[in-house]
Amino acid sequence: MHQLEFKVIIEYMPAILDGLAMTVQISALSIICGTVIGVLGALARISGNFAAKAIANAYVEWIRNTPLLIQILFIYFGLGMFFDLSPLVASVAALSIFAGAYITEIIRAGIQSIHKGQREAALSIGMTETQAMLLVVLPQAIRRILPPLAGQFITLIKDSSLVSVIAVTDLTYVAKNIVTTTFRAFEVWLVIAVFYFVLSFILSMAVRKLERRLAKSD
Amino acid sequence: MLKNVTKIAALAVTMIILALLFAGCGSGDSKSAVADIKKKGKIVVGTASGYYPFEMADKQGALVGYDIDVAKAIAKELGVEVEFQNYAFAGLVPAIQANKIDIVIAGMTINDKRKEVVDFTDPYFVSGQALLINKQYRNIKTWQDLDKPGNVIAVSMGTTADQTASSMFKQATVKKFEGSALAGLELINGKAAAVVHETPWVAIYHRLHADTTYPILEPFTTENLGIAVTKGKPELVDWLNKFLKQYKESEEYKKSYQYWFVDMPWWDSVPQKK
Repeated sequence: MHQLEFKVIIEYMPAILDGLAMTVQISALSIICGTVIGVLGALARISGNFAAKAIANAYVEWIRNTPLLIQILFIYFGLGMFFDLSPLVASVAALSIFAGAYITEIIRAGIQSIHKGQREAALSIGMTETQAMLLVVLPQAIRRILPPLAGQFITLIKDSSLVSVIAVTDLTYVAKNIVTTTFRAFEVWLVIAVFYFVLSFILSMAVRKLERRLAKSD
Repeated sequence: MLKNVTKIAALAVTMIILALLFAGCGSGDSKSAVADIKKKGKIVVGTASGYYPFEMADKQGALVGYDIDVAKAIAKELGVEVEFQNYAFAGLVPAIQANKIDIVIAGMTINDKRKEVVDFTDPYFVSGQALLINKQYRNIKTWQDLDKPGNVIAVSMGTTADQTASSMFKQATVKKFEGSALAGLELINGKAAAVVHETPWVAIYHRLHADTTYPILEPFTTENLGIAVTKGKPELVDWLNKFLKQYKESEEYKKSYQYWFVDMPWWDSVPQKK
């Protein structure tokens, strides 16, 4: 017979908050690095350069068709046999590389969804390729990119829970640790789920606001 | 926005009410736990493979080991099939609390903390915590030498090694992994100075990685391993205790002990890294 006891949560709150800070840190760094990788990847995929295209394609396919957990274990324990990667560096690397592949596709699809007449019109009034991309195509593409991009960022926050397997002291690691000492699985996991929910929810609210502002500027 | 908040609050309240309802209707008194297992025709045994030589996978992926023999002997005595469910060690107690498994046989040490949430049989094995050290840390001779700032100690999360290390090491950093295998990897990759684990595991893992590690086998704790059972099934615990008493006298037990801990002919049939 189980009596629910939420006081263990209060007892362990400092540890949970430390874990939360770690999760926020890892997610934020991975979102930034992943976006940079994604922009570069998308540029490579739409570029005329055959080698850049091939490399970007191989990267996207390889990452999207293998599990993130395996990528994390491979980077930390596998590459760890040759390079001294700290758990934090390994997790941010794994998550950025993983998210980068999806972001590459989101940005590429967004750019290619803009009718080619837009680019041609820009060129015909004397813009260069770069100007046409930056001033005409991208501003329209961004509105289409933003919603799936936000979805990807939220997925990343939740996926970051997997780095607990390489002993990064994130929210999930802290929770697992509390469960092994208190055996309060129900209370701990419920509260941790709420923490993840709040994190993701704040982010999706922020993106929705940004979307609305972009819509207004039409 | 306000609407959303109201909705979420309503959802949260519903979940909590559901939780309290479920909490109310536990597993029942289960006076006939043994009869239930016999009626089901199988006993579901939770274990956590990778803990040499208690439970591990052979080259075909089948579970083998000292504990697996105990589980099979129990099933045979009950006249039922045995079904193994392989968890991360830290998941075993939650699994038995949630009635996902009938018993846990996973080299689990009997201690007070666990006794608050599960019942244990009498001990079926006596063991203790030992150290496996990375050779780069040649000067470490005792656990006190190990307890220095900057030293990393890898353990399998939720094990008594974890509990022992977390309470004994004040200066060093204790890093917790899911399972002994990942903790061991951290050690042979040179990222941890030591792994704390029970003596049989340390001896065997050292044999697997003699080039990178050295063991300190003298145990610094004494631990009794027991079979864990869901709370409130005294009949099953009694049955298991009677069984263990007779099992420990049997030829089968002597053979099993000799096989896993003394002769170790299984050595060639479990996957080993070089």
